[in-house]
Amino acid sequence: MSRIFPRNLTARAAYQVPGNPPGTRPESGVANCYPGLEYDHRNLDRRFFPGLVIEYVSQEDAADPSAARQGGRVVDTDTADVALTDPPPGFEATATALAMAVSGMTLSDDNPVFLLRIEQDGREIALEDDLGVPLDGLVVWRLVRSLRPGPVTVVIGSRGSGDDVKPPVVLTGWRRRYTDPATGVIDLTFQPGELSQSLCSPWMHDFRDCACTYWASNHPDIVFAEAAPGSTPLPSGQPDDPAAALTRVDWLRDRPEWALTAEAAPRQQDNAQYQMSHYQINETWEDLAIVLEGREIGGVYFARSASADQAEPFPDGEALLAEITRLAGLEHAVMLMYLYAMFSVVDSNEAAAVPGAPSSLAGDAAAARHILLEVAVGEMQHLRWVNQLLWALSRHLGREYQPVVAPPSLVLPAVPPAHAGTPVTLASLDLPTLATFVEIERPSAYIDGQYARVTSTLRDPSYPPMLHQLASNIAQDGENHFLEFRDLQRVLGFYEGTPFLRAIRPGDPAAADVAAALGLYRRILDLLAEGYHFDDPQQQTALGQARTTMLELQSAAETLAAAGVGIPFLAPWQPPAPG
Amino acid sequence: MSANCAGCSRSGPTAPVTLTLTPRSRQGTAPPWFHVVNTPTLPLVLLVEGTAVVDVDHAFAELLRAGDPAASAELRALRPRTSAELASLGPLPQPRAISLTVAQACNLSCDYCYADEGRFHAPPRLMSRDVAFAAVDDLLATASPGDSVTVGFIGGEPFLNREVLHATVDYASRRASVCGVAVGFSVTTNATVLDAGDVELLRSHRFAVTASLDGGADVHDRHRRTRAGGGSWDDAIGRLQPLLESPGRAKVSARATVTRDDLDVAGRVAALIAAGFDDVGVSPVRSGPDARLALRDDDWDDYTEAMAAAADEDLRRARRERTPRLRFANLAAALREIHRGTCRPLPCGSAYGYVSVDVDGRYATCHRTVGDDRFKLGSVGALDEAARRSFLDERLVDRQEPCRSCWARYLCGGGCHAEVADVGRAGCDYIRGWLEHCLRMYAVVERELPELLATPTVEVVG
Repeated sequence: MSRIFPRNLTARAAYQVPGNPPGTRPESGVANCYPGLEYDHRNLDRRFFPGLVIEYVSQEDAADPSAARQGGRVVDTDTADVALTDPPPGFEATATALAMAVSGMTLSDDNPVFLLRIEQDGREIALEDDLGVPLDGLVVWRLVRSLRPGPVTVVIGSRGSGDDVKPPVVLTGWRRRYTDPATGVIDLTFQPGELSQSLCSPWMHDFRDCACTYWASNHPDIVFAEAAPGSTPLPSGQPDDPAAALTRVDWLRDRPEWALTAEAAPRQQDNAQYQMSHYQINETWEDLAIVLEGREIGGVYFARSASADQAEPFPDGEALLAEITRLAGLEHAVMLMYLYAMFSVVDSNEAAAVPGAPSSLAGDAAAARHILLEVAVGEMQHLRWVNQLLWALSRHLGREYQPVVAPPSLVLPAVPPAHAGTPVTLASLDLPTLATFVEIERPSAYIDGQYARVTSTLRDPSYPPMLHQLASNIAQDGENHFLEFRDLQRVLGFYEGTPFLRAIRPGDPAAADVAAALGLYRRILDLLAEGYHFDDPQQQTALGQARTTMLELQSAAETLAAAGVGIPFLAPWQPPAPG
Repeated sequence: MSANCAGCSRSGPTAPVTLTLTPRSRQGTAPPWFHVVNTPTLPLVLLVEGTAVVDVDHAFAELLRAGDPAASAELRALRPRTSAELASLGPLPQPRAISLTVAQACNLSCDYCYADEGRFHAPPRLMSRDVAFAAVDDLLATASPGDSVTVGFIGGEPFLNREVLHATVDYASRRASVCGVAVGFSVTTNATVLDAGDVELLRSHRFAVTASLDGGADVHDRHRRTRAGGGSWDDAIGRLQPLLESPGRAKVSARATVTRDDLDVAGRVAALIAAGFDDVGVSPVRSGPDARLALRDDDWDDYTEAMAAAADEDLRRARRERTPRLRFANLAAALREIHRGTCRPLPCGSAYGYVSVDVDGRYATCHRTVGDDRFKLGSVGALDEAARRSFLDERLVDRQEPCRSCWARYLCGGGCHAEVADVGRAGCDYIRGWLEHCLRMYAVVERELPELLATPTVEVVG
């Protein structure tokens, strides 16, 4: 439980309420300006002129378009308009005259009244084209939007000629401010529901049919299903069951017909057939799950732990720099462990050749290789981010940046830290090794536990905010690595023995082919160290060469592994064995 | 805080004291960034940058006091603004409020007056209509439609120049209306020359009327005397009565100047409320022609207690009312600013959004510095922007000592420029003590009487 409660207005504004991030708030909406999902922008301009309510009638989509119907039609007068009864300073006399003028007006459907002209700052805006054809409502709306708050004169009246057409009326008023300049509160004239009255209702219809997925930052579309009752959540609130944690489902799924955990297809239209129908949406939209932090919440919501930000910060930038340098070595070391393990897993040809192996072996081995490579690449990415941290932090501290790529750490820190660490060893992917990997990536343990003090330190506003975000990204990545490895445990635990493994052992660093592979590895490190000088665009060349060399190394490693040889990545960093 | 400026005790310049300017260094000791205050309920923590107020449990408060790094880290995560935003000025706004020193003359001779009994160390003079109108033109020239501006009248006694005052109100109203600008007015008066026409003028415009009254009749007449030596209370109250009974569009308040011979703040406030005022502020004399009247170093503890007692009494009074409201303006302003999280690198709007004009049309940083060359800012038609910027730039609170090491710096802003220049910073412990008291009261009011904080107010500078 948080021990800090915001009391005054600034504290309340600064307080980050547990739950969804700020990007999910209505004010962060990226919806269309109309009809939109939050509110319909046109509805603000319905009341741009105090006392009048104007609809912007478009004939663009009309079955039987008629220019006579289009334009800014005055659909109502509002003598109770707050702007008239309590006008802004300076407009008191104008408001009195305007209220009298408006109260004497009558509107009828037979003889509709339209905006004919607008004038502001001595400039007149005609609302018809050169031939005298009234402009379409959407064009009129855009012109009204161009008005500035302040004095405005409008001319309204019926169109056409004839005995029953009254002469146009000139009204002097002002363009309303839609929000209070001091408080930001929407003008009180707008009635509850008025700004959203022309939206899809409920908005899930729009979501179901649009299928463009770009506004999902504040409206759920593809989500994680609710954690099963009784499961133990990870610090982030994810279930610790990898299947539940990692499977995304369609929020609008038609529940009875589609299992809760069925994975959503990547394309929205592929999911549509499994979604609720329009009728179902109308009937049961209130039953759709609340989504917090990307996950459906059915029962009690437990806020994401802030433990990462409560770790003890480092006393100064130098100590922080030293820790980040140490973390670079750790990222490097675990990456080597994962890579070594990956090459110890059979490829699909070898899997097919394993005598008596179940038919699932090829697929499972491929999954294992995929997961190990993905996590190893994740660690490589971290190494780069760590260097970005070091670069930005060095600049912040006014120090020269030196890339930190090697050496890898040779010891895994113990948890809790009071104990001695364990030596880093390269091993095939047997189940004990996999268990070690799970422990390495377990939240609040080896890796993200190490980052907790870093993120806590970088929370201080004296550091550039980007650094905190970067460090948090690294730390949070660990949780997904943990879940991936847990998933792999589930898959591989099914087998008796280790039919998914090649028999490999670390090669002799002096052997020509092993030495060549180690040479590639060292070359990659040199290229990265050169490429991480972020200031110099030329260094991109080095990074490109590093990537090419990684592919060479991958190919060399596969060849060696097929011959039962693992690359002894740690050899260059270890003291020569005695004798 | 700005409430300290309310009414600005009138005391005159003495030997100038040089400002202590300390450029902020990155290497120096970090200034305090939070302050813990015990309250009748939970401990309250003020986060200095951003003036965020949170409450915490007792154990957490102890950890913070003991310097526990994890507790500070948890608190630090809340910091809503950074010092970088407060450490520099940014673009200066054009002044939106001016005060016209329409009369550098006064019919009273109060013995604590900062303005040399209203004459500002020169022969008595009145502002001409031309100067007043030109100053209004200057103000409106930079205003955009929809803006609000304030024209204030100050003296001396401004109603000694009744004709120009009335004409300027009329002129400013007409000109503002043409420009689509909302204009409000303010006047600080001793009320002893108000006539029926003046009262009508005040009623019919958006006027913030500040009457300089020190307390009940006896207290008031002790220092606020006519040139003939008589008291001025009866005259002032008699002439204000019609306005108090029927204020029209005017908002009438009283400002009392507290001298060291009588620190009974609550008594002064109560007497002025009894006289019919709903808004009563006080301000202590820090410097002046008669040194016996200015508060001294050993008075500030007593003054702090007196202010706290007056504040407590005001809240008790509010609790008894069907529609509670605060009448002690210093308290109301402090609570409002704490609630809003006012966070200012300067003490007031002086030279920033507000400037003063003397009878000759010269700009000064505020009404207290009129005629003082140290505070001149050019003249009407030619506001000296460079002088404004350098004046403010070197007075940012983070560039002053002892301010930059004080937890109250962004609520206080560093103290009245005029007083600091004359007598240095005195009574800082009082400011801190008073703010702590207000923070304690805030903890109670925010829970029990939040309607006292929600009242929308129109603030008029001057």
